[in-house]
Amino acid sequence: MDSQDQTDNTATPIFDVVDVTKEFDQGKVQALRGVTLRIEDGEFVSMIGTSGSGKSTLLHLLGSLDHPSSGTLRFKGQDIGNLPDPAEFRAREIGYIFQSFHLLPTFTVEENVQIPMFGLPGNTAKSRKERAVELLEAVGLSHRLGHLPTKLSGGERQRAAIARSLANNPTVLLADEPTGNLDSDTAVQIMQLLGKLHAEHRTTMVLVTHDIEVAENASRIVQMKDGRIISDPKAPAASHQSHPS
Amino acid sequence: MNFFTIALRGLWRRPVRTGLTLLGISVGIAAVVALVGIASGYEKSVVNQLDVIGIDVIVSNMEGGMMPQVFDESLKPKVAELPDVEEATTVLMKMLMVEDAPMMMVSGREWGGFTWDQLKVLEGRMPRDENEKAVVVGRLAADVLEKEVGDTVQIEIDEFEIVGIVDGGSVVENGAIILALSRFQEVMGYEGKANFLDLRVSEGISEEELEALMEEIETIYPEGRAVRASEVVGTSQGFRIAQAMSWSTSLLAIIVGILGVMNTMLMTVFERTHEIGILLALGWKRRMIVFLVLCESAILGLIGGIVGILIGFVSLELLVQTDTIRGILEPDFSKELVFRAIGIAVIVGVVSGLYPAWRSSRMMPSAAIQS
Ligand SMILES: Nc1ncnc2c1ncn2[C@@H]1O[C@H](COP(=O)(O)OP(=O)(O)OP(=O)(O)O)[C@@H](O)[C@H]1O
Ligand SMILES: [Mg+2]
Repeated sequence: MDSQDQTDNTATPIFDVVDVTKEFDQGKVQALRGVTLRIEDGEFVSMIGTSGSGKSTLLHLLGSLDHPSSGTLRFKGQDIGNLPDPAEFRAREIGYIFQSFHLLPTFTVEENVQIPMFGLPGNTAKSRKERAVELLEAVGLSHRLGHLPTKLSGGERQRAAIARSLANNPTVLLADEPTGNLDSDTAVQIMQLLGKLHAEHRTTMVLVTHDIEVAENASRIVQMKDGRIISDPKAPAASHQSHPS
Repeated sequence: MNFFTIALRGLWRRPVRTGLTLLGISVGIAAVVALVGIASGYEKSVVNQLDVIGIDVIVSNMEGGMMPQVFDESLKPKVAELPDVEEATTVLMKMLMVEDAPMMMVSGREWGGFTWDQLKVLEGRMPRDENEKAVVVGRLAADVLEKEVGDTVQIEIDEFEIVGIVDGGSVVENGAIILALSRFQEVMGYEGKANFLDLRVSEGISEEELEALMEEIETIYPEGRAVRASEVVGTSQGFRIAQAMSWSTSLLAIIVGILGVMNTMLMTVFERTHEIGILLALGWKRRMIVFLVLCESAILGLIGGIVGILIGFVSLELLVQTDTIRGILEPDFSKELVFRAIGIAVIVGVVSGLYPAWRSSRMMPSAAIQS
């Protein structure tokens, strides 16, 4: 995969993260200590690292769920580090998948899939419903449309959450330990589903995990430690991130 | 599914809490409806009574209490001779406990005065003359007292024969006991006294002339006030106190309602921090979250308002059935009151949602998701 480096570098990447830091509690916690990362359109990247290494924090920044403390963060060349109202960006470009599914408990599976569609204009009640049903069929949940999430198994819940993440046909899927709450067989099925979606739609995918087997589904594995990237097969040669401290 | 269903689903999530909040709002609104309904019902009933009798101006000393102070009957000829005064007649009116009825209007009217004219005899007859120890009772009063023609009724220490049952064309008249002024003065120990001087003025009188007339009367009777019939209720101190009480109770109800809804919505927002974080992560705009919270609290207000109006209406209806209120007033359950109550309820809902909505919109999604 290294052979493509040159061509990739000329195209505008999906994400261009340069020297980003993130502090919490007035600098007492340094979750990211200067992260530089390029993710190309259609890539499937896994981020691994020990607990507390900053994986989720980085993913939040990519999804514009938080602002970086310093550094620049570009999406398709456009600065997204400090969008005044990032909601539109999230709704249009980002699909989020969480470890503990985060389905809304008072809505049926099909209604949950509709929720992100309210973030974008131009959807009718009918079109929302049709799209939700279609997406749930695609993840193999067409028999569960009217059920509440609590009635579903963990694997089924994650399938529903995956269908929801696709609701607005996003450019990027960000998945934070999507298999973390699942047994290994179910985890394999979920990874197959994500792999299939990636293959079919060429959706850019960033997957956070600390399970190396899960990470190996991706074509590129980025390793993090203490708020830094310590290994990345595609790291830009000029500013290779070793840590001189 | 639409935005409205999402808001309803949010409320339905904690049915007991939502129910209790609704109960709080509706009791408050019911109090507003009942109290304002009674106060304005009283005003309307009195205005209606004066209108039916054809009184244009009332002269009385309204200082202190629901019923005015007495004055000497010698006032009447002095006022009657003023230009533009067509007719003048004296009345002594008291709210008394009559037998089992806790409050009943007893009206002693100058014999031959125009205040007798509108009474239609339904049964029996009018008193033969002012010396007959007789009363006529309005049909509601007859009902409340459970009396028929020929029965006697005790007023203070004396007994009177009921010689007729009358319809006076208004609730107040129909709820009253009416007798000759001199007989009532005797019972009350108010010989030569009255507390109302009712006037009819000449037809074509202008506003300015009426003003001038009323001013002149007030120079003749400095302790008293001459008031247009349509304004008489508003100038009564007792009524003003009752009205102030009804409004302050309403205000209290509104404040309690706002605090209740605000508390509920704040709890909802805190409790759903995580959920709000998810909505934000899924691409919801902050103003959609704000709108959702406001929608929920407005729905609380609206439903609470509707239920409150129903409770208020039912309690007014029940109240009117009681002997205390029956025959004194007809509750005013007007369209305006309904709109006002619903308006108040929705405003209570929205206002109390403002702060929680603002709180909800300030969350950082990454932190909210982790909570
Ligand atoms: N909102 C926050 N406030 C304070 N500290 C935070 C906050 N979010 C994250 N941190 C800290 O930042 C560091 C990185 O956290 P992060 O959640 O990114 O780690 P992670 O790699 O995802 O770990 P895990 O594998 O356990 O999920 C941790 O030390 C964490 O305690
Ligand atoms: Mg994490």
